[in-house]
Amino acid sequence: MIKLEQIVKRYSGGFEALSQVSLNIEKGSMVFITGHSGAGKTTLLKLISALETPTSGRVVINNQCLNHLNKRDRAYYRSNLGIIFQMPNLLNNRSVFDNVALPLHIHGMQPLMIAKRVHAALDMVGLLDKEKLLPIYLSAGEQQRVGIARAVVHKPLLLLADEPTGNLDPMLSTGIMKLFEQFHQVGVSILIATHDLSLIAGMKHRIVMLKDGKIC
Amino acid sequence: MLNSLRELTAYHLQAAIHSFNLLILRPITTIVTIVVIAVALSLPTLCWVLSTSLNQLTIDWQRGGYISLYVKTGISDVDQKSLLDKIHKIPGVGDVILKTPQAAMQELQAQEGMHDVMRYLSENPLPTVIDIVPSITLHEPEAIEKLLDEIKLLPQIEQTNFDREWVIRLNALHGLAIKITYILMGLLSLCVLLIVGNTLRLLIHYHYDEIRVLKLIGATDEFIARPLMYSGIWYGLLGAILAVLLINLFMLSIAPALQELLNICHMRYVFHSLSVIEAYQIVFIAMLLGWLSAKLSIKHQLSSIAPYN
Repeated sequence: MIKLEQIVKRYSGGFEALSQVSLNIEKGSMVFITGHSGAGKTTLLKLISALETPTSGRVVINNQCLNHLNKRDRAYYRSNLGIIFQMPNLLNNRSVFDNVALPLHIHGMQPLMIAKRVHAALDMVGLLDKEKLLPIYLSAGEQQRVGIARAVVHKPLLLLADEPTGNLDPMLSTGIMKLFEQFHQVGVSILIATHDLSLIAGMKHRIVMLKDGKIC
Repeated sequence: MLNSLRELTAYHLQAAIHSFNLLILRPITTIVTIVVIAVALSLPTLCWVLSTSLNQLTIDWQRGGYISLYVKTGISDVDQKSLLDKIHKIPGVGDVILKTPQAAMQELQAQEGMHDVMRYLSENPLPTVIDIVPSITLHEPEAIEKLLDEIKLLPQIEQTNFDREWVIRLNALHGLAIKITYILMGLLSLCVLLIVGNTLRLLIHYHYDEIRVLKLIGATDEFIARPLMYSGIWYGLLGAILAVLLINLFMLSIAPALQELLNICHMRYVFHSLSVIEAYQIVFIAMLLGWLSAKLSIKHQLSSIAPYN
């Protein structure tokens, strides 16, 4: 599913965020990427989500090399991913429903189908009763769950999460991780970057450790 | 095929409605922009309406620049009639008015003081005069000159009289008015382009975070641009409707004064406000300008915004 070959990412200014990283992730697996801040976790996810291009090496997702995609194809590729961030990045002038519906609008789906899918996604994260609210009236945990609903509403095969529990207390964090477990059980490949080792210690999934831009 | 067409329509309809909602969300900005667009559209349109009116008027005025033909004396009535027919058939001749010496004499006698003078004349010295009004299609003085040359070739004509200077002056003035109208139209269309472009630039700035999020979750620039394109079209449409109202209001308010002026100048012409077709034309042009402006201003700005990361 995900194949990174000898990835080097050097930012202008000479800072090398990733050096010679190779990684293979099977379809349907759930993998954690850990390491201190600055270890290169976010850079890795940005490369996989085609937000960045590697300085050298190849990023191959589903047998498709991302290195030479043009801007439009990158956007199209991203529209088929589920991406979750530390900050939920919701649109505060649109309701919870409209926020979750965005990926479906991008795919040009019919309004009836959109309503069905959005309700299913909101039901999954337990926020069906808050669909009409604006995100600012929700708690941090609820906002993150709206972000997750938005990331899974279009049924992506690959879900990327960058510190999804970074802003949440331990109880909420566990709840979010349980959600990811559920998605994993239905066959979604999930890649989660987190520095919270205690949270993932009890979960029996592969852990990739990054240190100074290298896998160790 | 039909399904994808329906999807595309739903897609565009959604973008159009969404963009309209965006405009309603910030009513003051929207109203100010629409008023500015309306004023920018009204000025060249007014010039256009007035210049078409002027065009009608010059045709009327050109009748002042008619050609007088003095017919040789001693021509029989039958010959005169065939001459009239011949003149009528010359291309470029609009109206032909025959003025017999008797009629001209009566006209002269009717003038104050002339009656007594006329009594001393033993016979009517006035020639038969044929006044030719050039046809409406003849605007250029050169074209009228050409017509004149043709008429001069007729053997029955003694002399011709044509107020060339007057027609030339009128045409020059009319030409100037038309040129000024075109220049104003160009400049103010540019103005509309810039106003809409600038407003959309501000709109993009206002929705900067939203655009970054949309890009992040895979929206293409075209998808993000679509509602903005519709915003441009909405601005054009609403601005044009207001402009049509303003122009009609203006024409109605000056119509009585203009009519009075024309009456003083002994001219019969009814000033009209915008016709329905003209109004549609303005609305269409304004929508086109709004769309064009959006297309020109959005693309570069959107591509310079990077997705959230």
